[in-house]
Parts: sequence; C-alpha cells; structure tokens
Amino acid sequence: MNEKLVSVIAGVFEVRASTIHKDLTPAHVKQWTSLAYMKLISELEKEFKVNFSIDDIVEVKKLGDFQGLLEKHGAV
Amino acid sequence: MVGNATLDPLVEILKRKCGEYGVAPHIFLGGFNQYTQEILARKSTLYDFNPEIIILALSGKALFENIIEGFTSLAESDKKMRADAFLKHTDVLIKTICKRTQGIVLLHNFVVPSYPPSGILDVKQKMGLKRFFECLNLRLENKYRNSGRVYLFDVNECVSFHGKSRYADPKMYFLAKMEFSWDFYEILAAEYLRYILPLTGLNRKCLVVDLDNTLWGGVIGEAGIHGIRLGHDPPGNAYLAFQKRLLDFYRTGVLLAVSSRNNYEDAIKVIREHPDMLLREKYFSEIIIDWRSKPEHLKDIASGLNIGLDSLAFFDDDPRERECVKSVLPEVLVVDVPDDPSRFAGTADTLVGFEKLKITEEDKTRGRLYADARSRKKLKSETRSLDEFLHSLDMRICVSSVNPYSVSRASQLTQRTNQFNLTTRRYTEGQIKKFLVSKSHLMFSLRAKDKFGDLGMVGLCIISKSGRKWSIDAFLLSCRALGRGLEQAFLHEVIKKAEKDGVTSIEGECIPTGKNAVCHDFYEKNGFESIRRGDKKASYSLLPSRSRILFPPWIKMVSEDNHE
Repeated sequence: MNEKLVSVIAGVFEVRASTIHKDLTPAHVKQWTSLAYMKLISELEKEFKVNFSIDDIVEVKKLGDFQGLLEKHGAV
Repeated sequence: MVGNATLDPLVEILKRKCGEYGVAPHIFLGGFNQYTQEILARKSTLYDFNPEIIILALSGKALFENIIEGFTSLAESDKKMRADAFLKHTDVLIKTICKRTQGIVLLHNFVVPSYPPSGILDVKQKMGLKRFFECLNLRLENKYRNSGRVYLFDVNECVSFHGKSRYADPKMYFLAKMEFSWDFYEILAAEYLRYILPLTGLNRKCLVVDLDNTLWGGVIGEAGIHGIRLGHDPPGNAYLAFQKRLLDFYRTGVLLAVSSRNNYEDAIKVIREHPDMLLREKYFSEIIIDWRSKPEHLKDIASGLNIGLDSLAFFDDDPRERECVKSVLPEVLVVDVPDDPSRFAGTADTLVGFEKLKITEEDKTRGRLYADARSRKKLKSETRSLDEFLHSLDMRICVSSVNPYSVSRASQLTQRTNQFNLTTRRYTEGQIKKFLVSKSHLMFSLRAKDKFGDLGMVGLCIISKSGRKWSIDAFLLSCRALGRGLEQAFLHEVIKKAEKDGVTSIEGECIPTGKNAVCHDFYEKNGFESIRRGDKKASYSLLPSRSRILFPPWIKMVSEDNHE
C-alpha cells in the first residue's frame, strides 16, 4: 500500500503505521467506526486531492480497497 | 449539543479549538434526532449534565424534508401551518431548556437553500422555498431578540460567507446524515467560540496595535508626517478604514493601546496632529512608543491596565514582531495579519475573542474610564505620598443589594474579573437572577466614584445563608479599582450588614488560580481565622462581632441617592 495512504489511515485510527495492512476490515479495527470512516474519507480526499463518489465508498470492504480507488482516480 | 442531524464530528473538533483558547469543555452530545425527547423528558441526561451552553442544531433539510420535496404543489395555507407549528414546538423546547438549566441557548437558524425546485419562478410565488426559510429565520430572530438567554446562531450567514457550494458534501449526507462537510464543522466550532469565550471570561479586553504600516502606511521616521499614507485616497483609505473599525471596538468596550518602536515625538505628532488620523490619544488606554522590544511593551500595557497578558491581542503588520511575541509571550493572542492593508479591516471584523454576550452601559464608557485612569496616574506622580494621593482622590462608595438593573453587570463582573476574585466562580445572568429571588442568597454590589469620574459598579459579593451562618460564595473587585483599599471598605460593609442581621459566623474561601495571587491573603489580613488549608482551596471564618477590620479613612460612604 502507498506510504502516504498508510500514514493517513494510521493518523485517523490513531494506531501505529506498522499495524496497517491491506486485508484489515472494520471487524479487525475497533477504531473503524462510521464516524472515523467519514473522517478518513475526508482526510484522504484532502491529502490526495481527489473526490470519491458514493459508489466508491460503499464498495470499500477492506483497507486495501483504498489503494485501488486512489489508482482509479489517478492519485497514486 | 442536541439536534436532528449528525453532530458527532463537532465533539472532537470543538474540544481541540477550545483548547487553543485555554478552555477545556465537557461536551454532552445528544442522540441522533432525539432532541425533543431529551429536552422534554422529566428525567433526562441532558439536564443531569447541567450544561452552561445548549446548542440546538436543527437542520432544515431534515426537518422539512417532505415540505421541500413537494413544495411546488403545496398550498400556501399548508406552508404557513407548518411554519407556525414548527415555531410553536421550538418555543416549547426553548422555554423548557430555559426553565431547567441556567445556561444560554444557541439556536441554529436554517440554511436557505439555493436553486429551489421552481427555479427562477421561486420569486413569483407568494411564498417561495427560499422565502419560506428566510421567513422562518426572521421569525426566530424576532422571537428571541430580547431574550438574555437565547441567541440565534446564524448558520445561514456562516455558510454564505464560506460558500454555499462548499459547505456540504452530498455523499456524507447520504452516507451518514452529515449536514456539513468535515471542513465546515471546523468553521462552526470556531464560531461557537464567540459565545464560549465571553461566557468563560476568556475573551480579550485590549487590542494592542502597531503604528507604522498598521494604523498608517509607511514609516514615520523615514517618510515624515507629510509622507505617510493615511486619508481618503488609496492606499491611505485602507488604513483609515481599519482605524474606523478599531473605533467600533472602542465603542463596544474593547480597550485600545499602542505599541510602537519609534521616536516618541515623531509618532505622537501623527496621533495628535495628522488631519486624517481618526484615533486620537483619548481613544487609547495606553500608548507606548520607544525602542524597547514588543514583549516589553505588552508587559507594560498589561500591568498599566491591571489586566493579564492573556487579556491582550496584538495586531502588527510585521511578521517578525508577531513571531517574537508569539514565542516570548504565548498568552497574548497574536492576530494573523494579512500582507495587504486593504484586508486589515476585514481581519478585524472576523476576530474571535472580542465578542460580548451583552453590551452594558459600562462597556460603552469603558474607554473613557481608562482615560480618566491616566489622569489619576498623573496625579499619583504629582502627589508626595500614597496616603496623600488616596486622600486627594476623594473616593466615595456605595454598597447596596444587587437589583434587576445590575444583574447583567454582576454577571459580567464574575465573568471578566480574574485578579481580585477570591473564588473565580463564573455566573450567567440566569444564575444571578436565580440568586436574586433565592431566600438563601444575598448579593451586594459596590459602586465607586472619585474626583475624576464614576468608576461604576466595580465590586460584587455573593452570600449564601444558612441559619445564622453566612458563607461568602463570591467576593471580587474589578481590576480597574484595585490599589485603593476598596476591597477592605467593601468587606467592612458586608461584615457590618452581617452583624446587623445577627449572623454568628462568616465563612470565606479562597480558590487559588494562576491569576488571583493578589487576594490570597485577603481574609487572613482582615482578621479571619484559617480553618482549612488545601492545595485547591483555603477556608476561613470570622465572628462578625469580633471583627477589627478598619475602614480606610480616605473613603467616604454615601447612600444610593447621593451617589447618582
């Protein structure tokens, strides 16, 4: 996963970057609340200067999916 | 915070923003769309929480969803009915909050929607969609205009200022019922501070301004009085506009002061003689013009005015001076001044930290009071001994019970006074009014005048009675009245009243803060016995009949009628 992506995720969930990997789902990360999720989306949009669509968001099942999304939007 | 949309992001953001201004709030967040139940329920966690500020945030989009959708086919009578019903229901909620708390209410108004469904014909309807919300906003404003407790929070204006196309993220609304984008929650939280700071007594009292390239363009020492830019033509008109804005600050009770590194004679000549200079000497409570550093200037200004450094804000065009003050005196609020002077007035407009929940008569004349104080100081340097000086002031005081007319000043004194304040308890007008009707409380005010003018109501004492015992809940003296023995005269009168009332014991406490060192030994000095001494507070007691407190010989007591 992209390094900046990992650091934004770690920042929002307030965990160490080393604990972040692509297969993590909301079930694994107790900080992954709906509120934190909205904040994460907002931070990623700001950090990578992209605008996700509502479809993009509901498709995300695990953290690795963000890598695909950023690639799709040409941000990484 | 209660409401009908997602307010969760505000909790964390508001805590952080408050922290930047030295406030550590406890925040209660109501359940999603649970506000009616929370406000009306007999037993409610909202009231258990005992809030000082209640934010009622209602999203019009959620509240009137079905109206907005079918608006074009809605009968005019239905629109009116819905609006009336909403206002009636809201008023019940507001009245309940006011009855069951002592806090102030921030009631959000509605964001007026853009691009209504009937398009350009919206303005041809008797009540278009935009007009519908505008009318609601206006009716809310009118309804609570005279309330001392309810403030209409103008979300619509806030959204308009920052851009209606950007305040919301539609996907966040559909995904999480978030009415605002994440960035806009930040803006909202900053706006709430305008209410929180005055309520907690942490707003700024004095705005210190630089001269060169701040009040006028150019450097006086180089350009001379005829070369500086100030007047009705560009670019001097930008500086004049800024001065006009500062005059508004002065008129609402904010003190102005000058800090300039210049030759005194050069700079003061502009203030006194330049034809287009608006801010003459009389508008400044302190003027410091010399070559010492800005932090030294600011320290002198604070001690000269008897206020803390954390009551100062600093406006200087030079980023190096701003950095210097920021690092040496972190308590001072350093304004982020834009490079372009045409933006100075706008920057002053949006400053957070000078708001007031109410303008009292005191506020309108505060600047003059400090100008009087400068004359007193002049006298002080002319008279030989302190005793002589105090006698020459011809001090007259009047101690009376707080009445409905002095409630707002009493509340303001609790909120603004930091130094001579034994307990630093902050009370809203609502709380003071409650004391006023309570049988177990007494409130005394101290008014003072001297030969230079009326100092106004400068002291407050709140007593809580239980049988033959009086406990002093609050005892404070405004900083502008310090150093004349007024506190001693005031306490003397309070004890006299207690004796008359047959009181057998008066208890007082001192709660040390970082700022009230001046009054730590007040009770002991005046014959109270120490009964408990902890880190957080010390308690004292006195038998009124045994009191040997002296009434300062240079002060005269006058009755209320003579005082006016």
